[in-house]
Amino acid sequence: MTTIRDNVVRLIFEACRPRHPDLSDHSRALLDSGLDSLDYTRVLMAVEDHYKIAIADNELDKFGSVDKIVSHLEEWVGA
Amino acid sequence: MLFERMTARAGEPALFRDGAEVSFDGLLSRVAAWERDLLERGIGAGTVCAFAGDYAPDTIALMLAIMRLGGISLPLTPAAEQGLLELLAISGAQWLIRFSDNLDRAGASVEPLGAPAQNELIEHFRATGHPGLIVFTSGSSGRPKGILHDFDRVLGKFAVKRPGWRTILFLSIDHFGGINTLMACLSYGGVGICVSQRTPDIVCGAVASARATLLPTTPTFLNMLRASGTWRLHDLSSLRLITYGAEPMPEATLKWIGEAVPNVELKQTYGLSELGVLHSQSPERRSLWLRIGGHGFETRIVDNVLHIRSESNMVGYLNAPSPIDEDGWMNTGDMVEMRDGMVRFLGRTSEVLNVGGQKVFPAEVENVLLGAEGVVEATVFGRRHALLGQAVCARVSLARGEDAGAAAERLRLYCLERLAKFKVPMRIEVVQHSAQANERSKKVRRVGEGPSAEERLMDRSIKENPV
Repeated sequence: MTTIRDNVVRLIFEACRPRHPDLSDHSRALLDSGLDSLDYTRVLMAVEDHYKIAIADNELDKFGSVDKIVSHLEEWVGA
Repeated sequence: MLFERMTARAGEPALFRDGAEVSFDGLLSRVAAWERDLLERGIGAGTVCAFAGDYAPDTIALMLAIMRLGGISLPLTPAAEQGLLELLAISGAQWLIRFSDNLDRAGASVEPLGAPAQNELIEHFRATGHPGLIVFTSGSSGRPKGILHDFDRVLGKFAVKRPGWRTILFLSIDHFGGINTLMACLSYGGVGICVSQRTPDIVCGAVASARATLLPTTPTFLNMLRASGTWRLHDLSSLRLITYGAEPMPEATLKWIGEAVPNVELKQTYGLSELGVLHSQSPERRSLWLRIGGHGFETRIVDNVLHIRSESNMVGYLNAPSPIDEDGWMNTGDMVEMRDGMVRFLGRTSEVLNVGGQKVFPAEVENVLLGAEGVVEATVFGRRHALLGQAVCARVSLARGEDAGAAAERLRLYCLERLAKFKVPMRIEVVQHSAQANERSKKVRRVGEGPSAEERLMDRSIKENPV
């Protein structure tokens, strides 16, 4: 079964293509994992599109790493 | 001058509609009929008279009758119906004439609108005794701005005789470019060809049936032609010239039209509702560079933005401060490159995106997208984003069916190979072609904010879309 984590990781890899970020540590900030600000923005938009949510200006800190994104989405889903 | 020339060509064709020609004589008879009708109702010098319709012998005759009586015309299209009250209020219209579907005088309703609010600009203008013309432009704030022109001054541009063309009246009757085309036809002894709709099939059909020699249009409409493919079904051999303007021309579109109609001259035009249409000349058929100006126009570039001083300047805005400085110059808001006395248009200053402090011209990105296989239209716009200020987004239309997600990814990678990364659209949406053009066949570029986070939050439906 695909988990939210699997899905988030997939979205990040897709958003960064053709580059391949280092997501070996899910607690590490995405901007320290090989993503530049453009990749990171694309990741946020991909998450918004896929989960049909809107990330408000003051919520960026909730989406800084894979762990944070997953945690926020799980909370939202009520998982 | 206009009426003398029309009278001198009495037996020659002036207009073409529904397969039949109307002579200048016939048109002048219709003008006279309208004049009698208007005068009986007390519509005359200085009266602001709105009318809603499209090009047809009786609508054109009405505008000419108002002009000859010294009134002020406000041409509108049925598309204006939604915001009609606002337009009538801004213009201080005293009468509204609505045409029925057949656009005949007999079926037109003439309604008085009561006492309008006083407008100082119109009051001053009335004192000149000249006929006027009001057109609207969509202001950057979203509120329409009413532009008052002295019709005599507008006609002054056509004083020098030039050859007349059999011209498709493509640009709408409420558009300054449309009025400019019509007046050129009537002044130079051309034939104005009325079309019932601006669809590729109907426009190409009109070219074929009326043997049109000139099609003044927009890059967006040329892309619609390309997308529809219907241009192949009609005999376009009479065409000698296609002019395009109102928005930047993508190189890919120019290349396509150049190949599709190899014997037709292509010419970029440039004008503003506030200043008139300038004469333009390109060094070669497929060049996006052009020399602009001509009698009565001066140009200069300030910080890469084109400024123009014109003898056919508008009288002024009816509901906004004048954009023309005390020396007569107007900042056009059009960013240009300059080379050897020629300019190339990059886009509107208001459309330039700022992505993390870096400028992105939508036209440049659209041009790359249009070079990708299967893309027939592309519109690039900005969406506000917390991290970068703005993110580049695009809507594209495809010639053939393709999975939207796969197409978006293919196009993103295509752009990555050709553009700096900050210019590559972060979101590419595949849409129907018709979703990208407005009723003026001009690109609809959604600029700036997009839905706010709060609005998007309203749509949260994560539980309907599980992982």
